Amino acid sequence: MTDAAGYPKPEAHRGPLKGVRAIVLTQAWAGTFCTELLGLLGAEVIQVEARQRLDSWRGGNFKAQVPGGLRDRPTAVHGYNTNALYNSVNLNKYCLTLNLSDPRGLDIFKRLVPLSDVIAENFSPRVMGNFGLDYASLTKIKPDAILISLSAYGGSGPYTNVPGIGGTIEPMSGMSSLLGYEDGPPMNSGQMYPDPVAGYFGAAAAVLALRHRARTGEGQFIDLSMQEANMTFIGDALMEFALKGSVRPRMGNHHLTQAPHNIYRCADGQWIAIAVRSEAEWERFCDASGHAGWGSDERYLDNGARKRNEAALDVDVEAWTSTQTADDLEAKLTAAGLAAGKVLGVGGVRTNPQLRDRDFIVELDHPETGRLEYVGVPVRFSETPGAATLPPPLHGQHSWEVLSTLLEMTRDEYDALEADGITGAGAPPGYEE
Amino acid sequence: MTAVLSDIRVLDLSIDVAGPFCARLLGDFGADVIKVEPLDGDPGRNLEPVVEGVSGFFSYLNSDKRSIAVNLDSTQGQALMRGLARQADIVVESFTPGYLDERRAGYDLLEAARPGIILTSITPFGQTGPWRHRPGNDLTAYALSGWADMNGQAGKPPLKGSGSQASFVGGIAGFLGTVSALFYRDQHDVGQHVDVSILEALTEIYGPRFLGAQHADANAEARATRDRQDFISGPVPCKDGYFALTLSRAHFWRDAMNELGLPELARDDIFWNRVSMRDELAGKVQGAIAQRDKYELFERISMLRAVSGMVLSTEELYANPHIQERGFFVEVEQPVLGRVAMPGAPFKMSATPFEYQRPAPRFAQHTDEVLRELLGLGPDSIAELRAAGDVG
Repeated sequence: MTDAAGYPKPEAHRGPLKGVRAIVLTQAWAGTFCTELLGLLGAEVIQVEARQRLDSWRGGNFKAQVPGGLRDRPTAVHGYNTNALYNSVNLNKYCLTLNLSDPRGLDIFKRLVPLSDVIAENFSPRVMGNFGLDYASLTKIKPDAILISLSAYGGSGPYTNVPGIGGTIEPMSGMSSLLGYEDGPPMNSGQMYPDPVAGYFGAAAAVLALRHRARTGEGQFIDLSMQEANMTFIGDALMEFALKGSVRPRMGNHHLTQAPHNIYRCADGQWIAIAVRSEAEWERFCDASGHAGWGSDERYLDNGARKRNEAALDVDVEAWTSTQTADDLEAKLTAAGLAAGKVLGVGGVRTNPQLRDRDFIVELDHPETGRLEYVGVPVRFSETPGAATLPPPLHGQHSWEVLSTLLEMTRDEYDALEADGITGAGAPPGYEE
Repeated sequence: MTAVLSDIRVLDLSIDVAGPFCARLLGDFGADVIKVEPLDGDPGRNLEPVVEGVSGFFSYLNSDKRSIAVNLDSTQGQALMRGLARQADIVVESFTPGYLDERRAGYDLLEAARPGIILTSITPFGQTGPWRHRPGNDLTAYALSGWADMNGQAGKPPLKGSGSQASFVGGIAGFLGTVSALFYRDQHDVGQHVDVSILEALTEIYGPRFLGAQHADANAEARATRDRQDFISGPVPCKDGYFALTLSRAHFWRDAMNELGLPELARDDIFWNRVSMRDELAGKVQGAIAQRDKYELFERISMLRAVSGMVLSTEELYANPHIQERGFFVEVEQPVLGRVAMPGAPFKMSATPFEYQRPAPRFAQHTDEVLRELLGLGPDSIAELRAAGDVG
């Protein structure tokens, strides 16, 4: 493992990946989430951002506005540093800006490569080659390099250079064909679900490669197709077609075999999710709801009957839930040992007592946005608890620290590069804010 | 070629979807995964699709494993479990917190039996906190994580993700945690308890909206907001199915409008105001998309390097030329089911690739083999254990 750098590294680097350094060219969500996970698990992640062309999740240009809810904060002055998309998925990272289109910027990147354990990127597959940074070229600089490339369709095949984002990978991976109401069209999720799915897989792949290198000294290239990673999550529906030749329909909130299993309207306009998964649970549900009669209703005699009469069952259940508040229903049903949960929006998620008790939600101070709440580390480790301690970096916030520490650059050299728009912080010269 | 986990043995005590998916990935990358089932089997053996009594979903989640059945409610079964743990590196489980402690197989006793062991627990709410014993499933994870509120359409109920999405997310988070703990153990000789809450793994990816609500003025109803933006990214109907045009840049918009035969809309000012102009634009753009075949339109838009997607069904994915050329589906000979083209690698590693090593096991198929191999038990001892109901 490489030595730790001299810039501030608090307890972020206590996780199981402590000692690992990742130099990453990731952007938007899939790539940045992948490398954020490495950071949340303790790796030192240096995110290299293009000097002139901003990450689309920073808003894509230097003139982006500060969002409405932050305008009364005097520190919130740059749209690209206050974008919730970027700021939500880039914790525990340092940000170095480089203009890779300039030979001096490219040279700096190549000098960082030997100091890194993992390189990650999620450009279109042709881009790294255009920079001369494809895997074969990287191994000339660092023979045991590990490169993880996340792309829409992978590094080979007829679609390899077709652009894609979460909103198109979702339909192209079969996900959208399965998501939706029973009588409705295929749908995309509320927020580009395929991106973080790919990010989770990418982080795991990086750790596998690190282990292999530690055991054998051999690096490797990881080609992650977001389409394929997401297809593994619909393995049941794919197996259904492979085995039966049948295409699984959209099922709304229903379950393939269990009933009742739905999200029901409550008296207070809220919604409650209720799942009854066995005959024992059904008996408890009839008791808890005060409908002992359902237990002897022949339409609901057993799970098969309930599934066949699901429409009537849903009407009956909702007639009951619509007389009570969601909180009362949740309390009553969970006390009876049933799977039930109120549908929560952001407010409910923020105050969820379970997430609070486990300190899953953390407060971090950001130089522009101030003190806000973020979701933290998604896995807990008894010996090496990682922690979300670094707020999302400002654009170029650590350029000087990284270059002076890792490459022993002098202030004069740095200032010259900054004046030429090769590195720096904030908007580069000539880009009005 | 040495598989990356070739030196690792895993005991998979988990059931249903999340834990078995995590453990299968360990097997795919070379670990010896022994599925330790209760005497009545993993209920996941009944998950649809079921053909001639064999579950295709189970086969997907449990390939690359051997199966033994051990009665964790018997003293002798518990002793066997600790004995197996002495020969293992990783244990994956999904019981209600406390269940394994009560059966003398909790983290402390496993660690005593095998110093450095990694115990990965994947449960609805995690090992601690007031809800740790509360039942949960995919539906409740979607409700409580914020995702159901964000999915779906305005005026309709909140919508969960399809199938077992929350469980898969929990499974991949568990896999990430497990291999990270293993990487740490390689260097420091220290194991640990890896605690995955499926709710947290899913809420983690709700992060953008979680922060977005704090950055924005109003917390508009999530499903309503989406409806206004989605008049072309939809997906919306095309001639032979559904199509998504996600035009994030002005020049994509111009190119796409020209391709759709709508040159009068190919203007930057319309692109920037497309959400507020929804009512006048939606009919025209959707009408043009409705005239097109999805493969033809996808190829045309892709040649323009703009971003679009076809809604592909599971049937269409099997027939898709890109998926075929990448070799994503892998033919595996499964018992009873025969040769099945199964979904394959989630990512391609050049030096240590994913590989299906063996088909999913029949229930308790390897009890004798594993007890002999790991614990040195002979046929008579095994027969006694079986007669006493300690193994199956």
